[in-house]
Amino acid sequence: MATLRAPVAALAGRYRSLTLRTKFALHLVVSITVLFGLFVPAIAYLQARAALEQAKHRGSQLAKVFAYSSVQAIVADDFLVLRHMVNSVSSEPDVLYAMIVDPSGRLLVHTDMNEMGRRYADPVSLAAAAAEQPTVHELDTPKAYAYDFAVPIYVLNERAAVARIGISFARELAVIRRARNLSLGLGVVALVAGIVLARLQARSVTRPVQDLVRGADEITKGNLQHRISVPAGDEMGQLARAFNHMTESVQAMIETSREISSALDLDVVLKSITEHALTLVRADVAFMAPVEPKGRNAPVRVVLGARTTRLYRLVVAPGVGLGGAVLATGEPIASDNYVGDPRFVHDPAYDKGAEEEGIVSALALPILLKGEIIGLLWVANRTARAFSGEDVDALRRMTHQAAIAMDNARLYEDLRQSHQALVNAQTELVWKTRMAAMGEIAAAVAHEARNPLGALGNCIQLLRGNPNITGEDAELLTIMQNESKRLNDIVSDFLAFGRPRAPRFAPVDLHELIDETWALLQRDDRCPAAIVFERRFDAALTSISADRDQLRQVFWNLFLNAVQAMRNEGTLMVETRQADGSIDVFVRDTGPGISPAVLPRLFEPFVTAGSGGTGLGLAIVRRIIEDHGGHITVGAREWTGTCFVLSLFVDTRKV
Amino acid sequence: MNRKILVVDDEPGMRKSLAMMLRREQYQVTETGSVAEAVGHLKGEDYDLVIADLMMEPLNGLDLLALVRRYRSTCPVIIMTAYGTPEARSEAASLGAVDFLEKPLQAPHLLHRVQELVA
Repeated sequence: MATLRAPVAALAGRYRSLTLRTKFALHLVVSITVLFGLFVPAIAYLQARAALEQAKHRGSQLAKVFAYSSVQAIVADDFLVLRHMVNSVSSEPDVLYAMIVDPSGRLLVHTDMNEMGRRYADPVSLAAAAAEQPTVHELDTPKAYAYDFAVPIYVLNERAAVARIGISFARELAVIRRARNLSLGLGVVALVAGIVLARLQARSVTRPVQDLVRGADEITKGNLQHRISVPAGDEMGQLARAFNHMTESVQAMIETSREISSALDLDVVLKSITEHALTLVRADVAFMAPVEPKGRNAPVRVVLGARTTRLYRLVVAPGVGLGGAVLATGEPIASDNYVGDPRFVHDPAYDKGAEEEGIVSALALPILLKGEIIGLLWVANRTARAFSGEDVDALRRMTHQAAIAMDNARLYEDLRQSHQALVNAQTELVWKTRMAAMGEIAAAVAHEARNPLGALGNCIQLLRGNPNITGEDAELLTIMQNESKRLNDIVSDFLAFGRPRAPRFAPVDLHELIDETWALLQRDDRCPAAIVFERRFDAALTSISADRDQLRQVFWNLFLNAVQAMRNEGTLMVETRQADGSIDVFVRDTGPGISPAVLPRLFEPFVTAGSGGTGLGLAIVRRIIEDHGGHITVGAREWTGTCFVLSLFVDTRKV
Repeated sequence: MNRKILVVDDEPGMRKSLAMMLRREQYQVTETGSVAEAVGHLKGEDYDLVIADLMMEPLNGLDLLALVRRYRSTCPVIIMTAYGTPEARSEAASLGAVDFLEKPLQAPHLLHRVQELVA
């Protein structure tokens, strides 16, 4: 057994590696060969036996007739009659010889006259001569199949002679051989015809299979456009159709996957998935509606194939309409009659919309991510063609893709926000570091400048007490005093910027402070009298928590900038708006605005918008506002003046 | 009788102009540029007021304030500075400075304060 196992296994392996077509032909050839190998010899054998039996029967009958006809001639010892008998017998077809021998074996008469009087000593002749019953012996002749039939002739119960005839079976054998050859020939023809038929049949079976194999190969190679031709409606046809459908589905999946990974814009991805869904189930209309973040409603985001604009404005609410039912249950629902379907709650507006769109059948599926409903895919037909279970399965795969896309988009958005936060933090850090360095320098310079300034101020003060200084000299002294004061203001700005103090929060009436600051500025000779002050205060605002002195400086700097920018005339407008615990203060002027070149660096120290000064005013404003937890922005257009927006918290202690 | 004031500042311009201003108001003023010299003056003589700059080397105005408190506990001291941090201001107050003035000094205000303190 062990020695057989290896070759058997090898053969089995070789068999398994044969093509389907070869296997098919092999099976048929083996079947036909076995069939003919068994039947042809069996039939030939039976046929030959029947012919031989018949021939033998004929031989013994002929021998008996010969013997009985010869009895009288033997009794009469009439040689001429015997001779006539022999001749008439031997004229029968296939008779080789006819003879009569006496019991001692001597020939009384023979077809061949030359044999007369002879005595045969061969075993057949001896057995025949001694026969008391009719016998049949096969003749030992090399060429011809022949039998010897012997029939004893009794006269008065005594064996008087033995009649013998030899019959050749050559003719029967020839017939038998011909019949056998014919059978074999027919067998071979049948075998050849069988093989040819088998191959044809095999081809008709294997060609679609080979098509499928080629199709699968093409798809493996990435050629998703490949489709196989669909034969008639047999099982192969069904298989081919299923295969093509599967390929379409795979193609759609792969294309959407590719789009999902290549495009991070959620709208682009959702549109592509909706398009694939539409073509995959051959629907007329489709939309995709992601559920709002932190909400339950799903506003429609992508619409395809719609005739009206109604779908674009649709917000699907859980429980209302087909989509709403899907949002509520999380299960797909297919309806072959949208307007008349009793399984979901009908909204008159929805039904009207469906009628306007001509929608008959519809199918909606939830988009699920980790068990949570994050959206809705909705397709519909304007014909009565209903959506099948296969369609549901195909679209379910599309919703998986959509879920991944929406998840990716969310992750990307998180990432983008984190990145933005990081960039902001970094910018802020760079800004603060720069401000700190500049502040150090400014403070150091200011500090050093204050001693000489102080001495200068003292000297001017002393000279003022001198009554001898009059006229032009007194005027010069006044100029010195004013310039000294300006210098001191600059130094104070430097110090305010370089060594800021933390705000001391207390309730501040913002409106009162603004009015007060404006009143102060009006008395300053840098403020032209023609400037109009317009205020639009939010009456609901009472007081905010802030450092009064610092905020006064903020408004002073902003107002001073504004009036200096407007030069001689214009309007300074201050507006306050309170909302959600924060307060926005808008400071607008009708000046020439800020040049775009300066705008990005407006709040940096030593950057001036052209009105002179130290360039520290807005840097100080920004620092104070940020120390209050708020922020300041500028919206400027050169032709509409400048607008600063300060955002502060009403209760800064909550910062 | 003239009130005696000790002015301590290492900035000569500031120190001289301040002394001159005070002398015009008939005060008897002693000038000095360092804390060490000031301590010497304080040991030898009684003063009615000390006006000292905050930022001096090696000893500063607060050091002088501590020393004044050790030797002449009743003499009022005005600390002046080119830039006063809130910390310096509160430290000066805790050491008993009667005033903390920022430069440049406003002459009328200063003279008024001096008059109050030495009266």
